[in-house]
Amino acid sequence: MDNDKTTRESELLDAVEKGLAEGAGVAAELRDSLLRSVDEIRLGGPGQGQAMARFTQALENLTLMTDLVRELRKGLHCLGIEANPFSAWDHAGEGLAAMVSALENRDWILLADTIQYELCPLLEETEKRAGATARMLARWHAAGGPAAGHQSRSTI
Amino acid sequence: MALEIGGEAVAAAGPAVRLMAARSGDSTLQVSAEDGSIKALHSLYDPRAEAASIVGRFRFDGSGMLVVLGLGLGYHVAELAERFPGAEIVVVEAHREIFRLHKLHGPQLGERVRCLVGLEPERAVREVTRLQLRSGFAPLAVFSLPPALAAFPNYYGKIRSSLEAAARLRLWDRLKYPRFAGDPVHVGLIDYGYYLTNEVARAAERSGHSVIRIPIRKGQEGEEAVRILIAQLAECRLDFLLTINHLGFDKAGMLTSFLKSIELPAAVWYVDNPNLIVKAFDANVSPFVSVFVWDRGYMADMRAMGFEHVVYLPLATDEEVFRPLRLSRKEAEQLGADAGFVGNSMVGPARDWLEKVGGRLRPLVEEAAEALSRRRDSLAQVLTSARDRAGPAQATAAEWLDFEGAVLWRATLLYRLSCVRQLGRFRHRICGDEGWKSLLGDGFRIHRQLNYYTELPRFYNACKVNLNATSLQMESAVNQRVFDCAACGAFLLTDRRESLDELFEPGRESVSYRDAGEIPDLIRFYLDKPEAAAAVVRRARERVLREHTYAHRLASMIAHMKARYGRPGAAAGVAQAAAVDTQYRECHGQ
Repeated sequence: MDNDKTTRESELLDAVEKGLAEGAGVAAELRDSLLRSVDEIRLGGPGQGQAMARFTQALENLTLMTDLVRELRKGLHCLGIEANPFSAWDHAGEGLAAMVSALENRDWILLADTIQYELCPLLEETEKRAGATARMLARWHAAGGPAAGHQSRSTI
Repeated sequence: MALEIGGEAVAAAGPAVRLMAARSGDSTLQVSAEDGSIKALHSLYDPRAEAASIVGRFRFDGSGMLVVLGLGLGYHVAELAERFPGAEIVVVEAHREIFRLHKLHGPQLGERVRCLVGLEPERAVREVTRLQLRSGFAPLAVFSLPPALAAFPNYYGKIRSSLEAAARLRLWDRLKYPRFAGDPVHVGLIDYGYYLTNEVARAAERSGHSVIRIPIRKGQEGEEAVRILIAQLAECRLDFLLTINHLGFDKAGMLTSFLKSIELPAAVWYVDNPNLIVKAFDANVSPFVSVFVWDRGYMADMRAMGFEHVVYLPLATDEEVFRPLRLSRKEAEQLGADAGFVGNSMVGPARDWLEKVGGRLRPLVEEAAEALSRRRDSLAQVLTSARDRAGPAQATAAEWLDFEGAVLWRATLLYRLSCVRQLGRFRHRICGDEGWKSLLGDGFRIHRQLNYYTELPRFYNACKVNLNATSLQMESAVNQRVFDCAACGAFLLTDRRESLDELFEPGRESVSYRDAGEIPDLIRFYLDKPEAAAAVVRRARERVLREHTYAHRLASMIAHMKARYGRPGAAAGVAQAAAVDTQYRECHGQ
């Protein structure tokens, strides 16, 4: 039984570790893409169409990112790891609501502001903390992971 | 401090405007847009950084006029002003309330920034065009504040379409074609109704050049004149603009600025004292304005004013108007005399100019005029003496110019009177204004003024001796009569001028007196020796036809203009020289 549990935990650890690394990468890509669009959205000129297309794509990726964050939180919880690299996402709803309002009003300044000053910092934070957590998990994994016992989890 | 030009409100009720604090601590604005939605005009986080970002992406060479659509609180305008110090900035703002909030909460904008607030779109475009004309039709670029355009598309969209269409036209570039690229030369002649205009036009056309008359009347100088010129330029590629005595130009130099902006040269032919016309208006000095003066005595003054290209170009005649005429005996008796004089008594001009002179200087006019009329002292000496007499109660430059005018006309009156009186002992005829009657009194045959084109040639032909007494505004030049009379094949007794001997060989082609007292003996001599008079007349006319017609003068003027402005890259060179000159003047506080 213990061996089965350890094997499941080890597989989960593997998945969470990969998920965190992937999440960090997606956050970085999303942030770059959004930052590239911000000025065009503000300027509202001929480049705005392309910028809005990039933004729409980013929104879809953001939805996937939200799902990933939810699953990774569950995984970390199952592993009994206290680290919460996604704590900033607890307040992300306000920024997303502002973006929806900006889109409805076609208020491109508010939309650009929300992207630049709310969403991009959130993604930057996510990239850093998810990456850092993934690296720590990797080190723990190398040191024996779940088989090393409960003691070592609290250090993560 | 921005200049605001108020007008009617765009709408009775403006939009709802909400002033807020941005996260950065600066103020920011939200407005209710035309479609009822709420829109931010500036970043709610960091409006200054936003302004730097959007202005940083704006492509503009920094010269000419930059029209900014939408003021908001003005962060972007302050950024534009800082980045483009050479541009003249005009901001169009639809709403007075937004302008008011900018004044209270926005960054300070310099004097260079003008605001057009609350004008209907069509009027805003007209104002921008007017300002563009005033600045010499500077190139135009448009910067739109994106959220202002998004919030008020009906207002700013209309203005932007109009202005961008004008900016795309880049009319000034289209007008900067090479000058004097081929034959014939296209002369734009300002037609102000001045007598010389017709002669110049005919001479240019007879010489095979193309003349385009540009009708500018009194009161149309400035913006209207520029509009009229632009309309002409759209029709014809002028090589240069020609005017007499700077007529058609405005004191503020708007037409001069326009010519400089499109690098179209102008030739100004002065046939009257330029000091009394342009000396106080140095905004008309430009490297694209060449000054031709009929009197060498004014060349130094024009150069001192800053004109780089000053050329001596004496008067001349239209040989088709002034020519020998076969008069019947009856007509000769009716029109002519043994000795004739035609000219203005100067009573009117002397009185008018004296009225302009202020009380402090007025007592000095008569004494100065008498000294000048006796040709004892030059005008410069007379003026210097008057300045010494005026002592510490110095007058302004404009007041001294009025004084100079009053002295010149009064001196000419006195001088002419002393000459014309000498005719009393001959069978004479004096034609001119009513002033002669009061000056000469009884004993003189005084007749009305003559029509220059139809009657004057007959008068010259009818008189055995024509007397000339040159206006003292001419320091060394000869007047029109010297050429016209000779072209008629009529005898002229004229006063000795420095330039006379260059234009006609003394004794053989011209006969002159130095002092009014010599006039009676000379008249008597040539009345008694008609064959001697006829020989002088014949040679004088040959000289005129050979060298002194308007066609000769136009040819000389065009050659000068071609040499200065017609070479490849000449305009660029002149413009560069102008830029250096401007820098020099700025450096030296001139």
